[in-house]
This record gives sequence, structure tokens and C-alpha cells, in this order.
Amino acid sequence: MTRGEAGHRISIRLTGDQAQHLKALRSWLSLEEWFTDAQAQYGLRVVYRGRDGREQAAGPDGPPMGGVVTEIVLVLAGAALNPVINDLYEHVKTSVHAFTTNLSGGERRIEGRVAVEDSSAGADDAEDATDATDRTGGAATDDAAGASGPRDGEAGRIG
Amino acid sequence: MPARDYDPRGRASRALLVGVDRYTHDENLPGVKRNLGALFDALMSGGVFGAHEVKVESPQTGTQFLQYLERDLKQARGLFLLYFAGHGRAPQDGGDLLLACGASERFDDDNGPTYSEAVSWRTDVLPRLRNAARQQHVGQIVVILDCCFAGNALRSFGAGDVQAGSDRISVLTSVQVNRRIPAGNGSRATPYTEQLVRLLHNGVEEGTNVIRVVPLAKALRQAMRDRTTVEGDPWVPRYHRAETDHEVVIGLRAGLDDPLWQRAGETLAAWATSLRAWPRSRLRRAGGGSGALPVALTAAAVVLAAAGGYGTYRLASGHPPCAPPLELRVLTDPDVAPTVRQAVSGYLASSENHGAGGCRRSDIDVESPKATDVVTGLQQSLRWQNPSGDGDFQPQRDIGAQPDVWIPGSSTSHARADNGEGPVTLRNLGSIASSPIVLAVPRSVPAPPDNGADRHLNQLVADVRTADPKTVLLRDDPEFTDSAQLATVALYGANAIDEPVGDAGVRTVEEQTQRLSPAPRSSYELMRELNGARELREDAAVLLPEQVMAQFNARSADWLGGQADQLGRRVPLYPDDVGSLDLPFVQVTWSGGADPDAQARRDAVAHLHHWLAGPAGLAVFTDAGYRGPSAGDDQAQPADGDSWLVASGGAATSPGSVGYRVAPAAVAKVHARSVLYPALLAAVQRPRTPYYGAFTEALQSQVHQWITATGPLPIDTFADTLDRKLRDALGGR
Repeated sequence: MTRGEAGHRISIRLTGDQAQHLKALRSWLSLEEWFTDAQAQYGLRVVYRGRDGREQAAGPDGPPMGGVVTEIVLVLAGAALNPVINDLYEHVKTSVHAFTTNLSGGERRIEGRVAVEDSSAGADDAEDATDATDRTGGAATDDAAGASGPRDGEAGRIG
Repeated sequence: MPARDYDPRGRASRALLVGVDRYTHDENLPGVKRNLGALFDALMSGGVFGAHEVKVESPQTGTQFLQYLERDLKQARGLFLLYFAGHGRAPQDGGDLLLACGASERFDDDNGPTYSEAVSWRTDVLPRLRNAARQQHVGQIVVILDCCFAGNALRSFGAGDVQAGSDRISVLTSVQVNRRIPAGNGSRATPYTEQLVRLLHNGVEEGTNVIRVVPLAKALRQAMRDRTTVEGDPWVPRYHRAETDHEVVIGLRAGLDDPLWQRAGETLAAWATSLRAWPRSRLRRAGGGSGALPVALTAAAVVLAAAGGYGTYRLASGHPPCAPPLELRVLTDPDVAPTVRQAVSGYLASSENHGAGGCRRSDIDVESPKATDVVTGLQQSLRWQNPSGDGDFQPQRDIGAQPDVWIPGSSTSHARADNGEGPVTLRNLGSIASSPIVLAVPRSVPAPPDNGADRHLNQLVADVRTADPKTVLLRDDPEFTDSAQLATVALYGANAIDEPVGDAGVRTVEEQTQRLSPAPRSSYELMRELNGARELREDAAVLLPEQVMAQFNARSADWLGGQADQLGRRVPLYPDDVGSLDLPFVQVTWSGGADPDAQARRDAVAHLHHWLAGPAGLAVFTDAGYRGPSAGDDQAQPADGDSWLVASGGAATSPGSVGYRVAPAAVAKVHARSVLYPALLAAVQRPRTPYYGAFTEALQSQVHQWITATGPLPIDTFADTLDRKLRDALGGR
């Protein structure tokens, strides 16, 4: 599979060369309700993207052994409307933040970068992905893991 | 077709409440401690679990957790409830939920975090539950998880993942998958459990007091709808329903002890007694089998009839729609609250609370905030009525809506609150029950020397410590309960009887009482925490109402032949310089507002008072170990007949002269409830005994009568009819 296939894309990259956690991230995302809803309604698929921009289907067995995978990409059918994409983008940001926060600890600090890529930009290269994100208002880069304080005006959390 | 209820009342159910509030390597969760007390009380008053059936544990290690789980799971024959509150953890792919015990520690490697001393939902807990369900000895299993990532447990029930034994397991999770949740600031229960407890007390479905699991789960979701997770998205509790067509009942609302159920217990106890007196030959003729069997069947029929009668009572009372009942708000002392809730539940179901057409007059919300807050709030009633939004203390925020009724522990509180200022009028309609405050000393402590006339509290404490220097004095938080306040006044020598003990004396007292920290918020909570504090349990002399001690002594139940619980085996010493709890019923009225329901509200309060002060209300209190109403001179007597407390050699003349022991009638009731019901129900469920048919016929006839009745049958009529039919069935005696 190449990136030439049409469709909206939301790419997720873990900073600090933490590509070994992408399989876990894929599993994590697939537990979420918005994920299964989007699969059913918009044909959401997940692909791994390598450093060279090539994409391969992300099966349950994790990334392909050859090549270096750097990103997970959520691909939506071309018919999905912008409000759907934006809604999904918010869900993905929240889920990725939860994932990186859970993973970070001790010396390890992991951040996630979530970006929406234009559906017509099928031939863009990886660098353009960042530009595409900027067009939507900037890449959603999670805070450093764990830095997100408790909300709701309450101290502590039970997880 | 509507689902059938699985109603575990009368079966041997077990609840294991696991709450970890202290972590060696992680943030403590003080709110969790609150959870356990509040949930314990809610379950205790729900009618499904007896006192000895609810266990509270704070495991330090995973091994301990699983030992507790296996221990209680093995004993459950009816409902098994597992509750966990503490830190929940997720592996990096979210594929499991890890329940962290006190010594849990996180380790990181390239594969993400791992946690020591945490039990895996997927590989440790669920297989044990499924195994128990598969072996069919347990009726239903309900799991409630209040922790971060709780929703990750539900992955085990995903499509295509159905396994044998999952058909009886329902799971409620505080939050959706992959999300963390706030634990609250520790001054109250955690947000989810706070709502859980509220719903257990108040009920979830219109028109019924029964609390079923799925409606409860839905109500919890609704209750949390305006809150957000730590990640900032909507907080959505989830659930998995057991894959059967049963609706699982986990209790009755508001500590409701269905009056029918109570009545059945009394009938049962009387029957058991009378049947035991029958000659065995007569029993054989009547029962045909072993001597025990007819008793078993009779009692079981009573139990079944009571259970069936509940539903039909509701059915029969299904008149045309009623206007919404008036909402009354009752504030009471945390020590008194469990019994007040039980009494109020009895009142709500009583004919006194039903007007023309069988419509309920009032619905009643019972709250038990800090005792001192209520006094201050009433002293500053203008602020309560007109919240100003500034200042440290804001009654509307810190206590809640203004009450219509206040039942403090002691009339001393009423006297303090009644400063004659502001829009509030406090009218003391008199004591509804009473209980002296005692120094409850472990039986293992040698009897202190008798000092004759001097029974001042400080002298009693000194005597006990002389007899056993290891003894530690405990009481709950004096800000929360009147009993702790009254005791503290005497301990400090501040009651104008003794010399003040001075700073050193105060320090000595407080150093001991702080052995349980944070201070428990009620005597019940104190006793429960003491149960978990093994190093203190054997050495603690506890200041608490006699009634609470009686409750725990009854739970220890040497006389049931069960395992003696050290916690409850305490003997009371009666100080003569500490006032009693006299539970004044205080009517609270507010002037200045335009309340169109003012007259109806006064009427509703009058009805409530009439019922509480009458024999039905008094019975609830004396059944719970209270004495009768105080005449204002601290000379309250144990109630006649069924009281827990009897004087040696006749009526007592003063609290101090009452020899504490449990009265036989009270024993019979508790005995019936905790031992006979489960055993007898099990007996009647055996296939086809010769008398099964006769009893079920009597039962069906009775139920039929209920269904065709035009209105609710008076309980006495029900009991009498049932009694007659059963006697006929047993051979005319």
C-alpha cells in the first residue's frame, strides 16, 4: 500500500523515537468507543507509516518487521465530513494523551503528536504532514506526560 | 417480557469491600477511606447483607487480595459483591486493569510499565469469579470498580469473548476505557462512590424501593454526566450486564428494611420457638421427616411469602397516578443516621405516610453532616436561608438545603443551636429513643477495681488503664458526632463536675485518640476501622453510644455459634458524668420565604413525628439496640419485651444499673435473620420434600389473595392469615 490512496488522515507520532510502542498504541486506540464507532460508520482503518512515507496495513500482529515504522495513521473514507474529522481529531488527541501519560514514568517522558492531513494531499511527503496540520490550527502536541494536572478542582486521582 | 428479579434476600450473600487508601510508593487516597464506611453503611441497611456478611479489607499485597477474594467467594451462596476502590493501573496497550494494593510499585522497562503487588483483573480476579459462577454455588456476582481505567475491565466481556461462567457476572465500572478519574479531595467519598452510596440510600427507580443492578448503573451514568475525566472528556461510567435474563437486586433503598420482611422475621422466630417445643412424635405426624424439616419448611414459606408479598404489595397499591409527594429533608447525627434511615424507610412504606387513594404524602431525604456544622448553620440561619457566597462556612454549600426536621444525637445540640435569632424556629417535640454513652472495654481486659460511687469518665479510664496499661482510648471525631463531643467534654473535665485536666491531660487523651487518623466520622466508622487495625483492636477502649456497641456485640454473635469477632466482644462501663444521646425530634420551620407548601410540610412533619414516636417507630430503634425515649433525666429505660438490654433482676432504674446482655427476643430476631433464613431457604429449595406441595399451596393462596386485594393489606392481617394457613398445613396446631 502506498500513500496515494484517497481519504482523510490523522497521523500520530510518538516523540523521542518511541516507535516500539506503536503496536500498543494501536491496541489502546482500538479499545475506545469512538474508534469502533468510526470503524462502523466511516470505515476507519489503521495503517503504519514508515520513515519513507510508505504505508502498510496495521494488523493485530503489530508493525511489519522490515523497515522503520514511525507513525500510526488513521484513514477515513473520503466521504467523511470536516465536522466528523474534527470530532475524531479531538478524540484521538485525548486518547493519545491518556496513552502517553500512562506510559511515561520514572525517567521516561513520551509525547504524542497528532495531526490531521488533507484528504487531497495523498502524495505529500512526511514533512508536509506537519504543514497540513498547521493549516488546521497547529499540531496537537500533548504536554509532557504527567504534567496534566487534575481537573474538576479536585486533588489527586484514583488511577 | 420483563426480566425476572434475582433477589438474594434470605440467602447467604457476601460483600468484599476492598479499599486501598494508603500507598507506600504512590499517592494516598483519603477519599477511599470514606468510601468504605459509607458503602458499608449503605449495604448494611439495604437488607441483602447481614453484618457478618460484609467484609472490609485493605490488602497490602496481591496475595492478600486474592486470599480475601477466595475466602469470601467460597462462602457466598446468594449474591457475591466485590467492590474495589484504589489506584487502578493499565498496561501500555490497555488490555487489562490492574488493581493496585498498598505496597504496589511501578517499574519501567522498554515494554512499558509493570506494577508489583497489583492484581490483574483479566488473569487473577475474573477467572476466580468465573470459576465460582461455573461451579454454580454462587447465585450472582456483582463487581463495582471505582478506580482509574476501570472501564478496561470490560474488555473481558467483548463480543466473541464470552466464556463459561460469565453469565452471572455483572460489572459496574466508574469510568470508560482508558481514562483516569479524580479521587476527590479526601474530605468526602470519591465522586463515583459518593453517587453510588447516594443512590443506594435514595433508590433509583420510580415506584419501587428495590435497587437493581442495571438501573443503578444507568443512574450512576446519569449522575456523573456533568463531570470530566482527568483527560478532560466526559466522564461516563459503564457496565456489563450478566448474560442472563435476571435483574439482580442488590438492596432496598434508604436502608429500607421492608416491614413485611421484619414481620416475617418475627413470625419465623415465634414459630421456630413454638415448633421446637412440640413433641417429636407430633412433628413426625405433621412433618413426616426429621424434626428439623417442618420448621425449615414453615420458616422458608414465611420467608418466601414475605419476599413475594413485597412485590404484590406494590402491585396492589398501584392506584391511579399520584401527585409527586412532598420532599422532606431530615438532618441527623452520623451515629444515629443508620437507624433513622431505617425508621424513615419504615415510615415511607407505612399507612401513616399514605393519604387518600394510597398516595404517598412525603418522600424523605436523610443526611448526616457534621454535627457541629448543623449547630453552626442553625445559629446562622439567616446565612443558611440567604447564602452570601463568602466566608469560610456556607451552610448551603457545606451542609445542603435547609432541613424540615433535625434529629441530633443530644438535646444539648438543640439547646446550643436555638439562639432565637434568624428566620428559623426550632421546636423540640421530644425524645424518640435514647442511648447512654459507654466506655466499651475489651473482654480481655481484667475487670477494673470497683471504685464505688466515683464513676466519672476519667476515673473509669484510669481504672481500665491500671488494670491493663496497654489500653488505648479511642473515640470518633467530636466535630461529627454528639457522642464524641459529650465524651470529650467529660474527658477534659470541662463539665463543671471535675477539675479540668489541663493541657497535659488533653494531650494524653488526644495522643491516644489520634491512633486512628484521620479521625473516624462516626462510631460505626470507628469500629469498622478498628477492625482493620489489628494492632489496636485488642487494646482499644472505645467511647461510643451503647447502641453501637450492642450492634457490634450482636454481630460478633457468640450465641450464634459463629466465629467470635474480637471487635464486638466488649463490655460497657457507664460513666455518670457524660450525658446520654436522647435523639430529640426537632421540627425546623423557616419564616420569611414564600413556601406554598408550608402547611403541607407541617402536616408531613407531624405525621413523621407521630409514627416515629409511636410503637412502630420505637420498635425500629429498640430493635437496633436503643433504649426508649428519654424523660429528660438520663433515666431512660430499656423498652419492654424485645429490647436488647435487660436489667438483671427486673426493670433498670438508671443506665448504670442495667446489666448489659442481649435479650432473648432480640437474639431470636437476629438469629432468624442471619442463620435461619439462609438455611431454611436452602432447605425448601431442595427437590420435592413431601411437604413442599402443602406449603407452596398455602403460599400461592396467600399471594393470590394479595394480588386480588383492592388495596394494600395491613401487615398484621397478612401475618395472621399466613400464620393460620401454616398452622393448618402443619396439622391443625
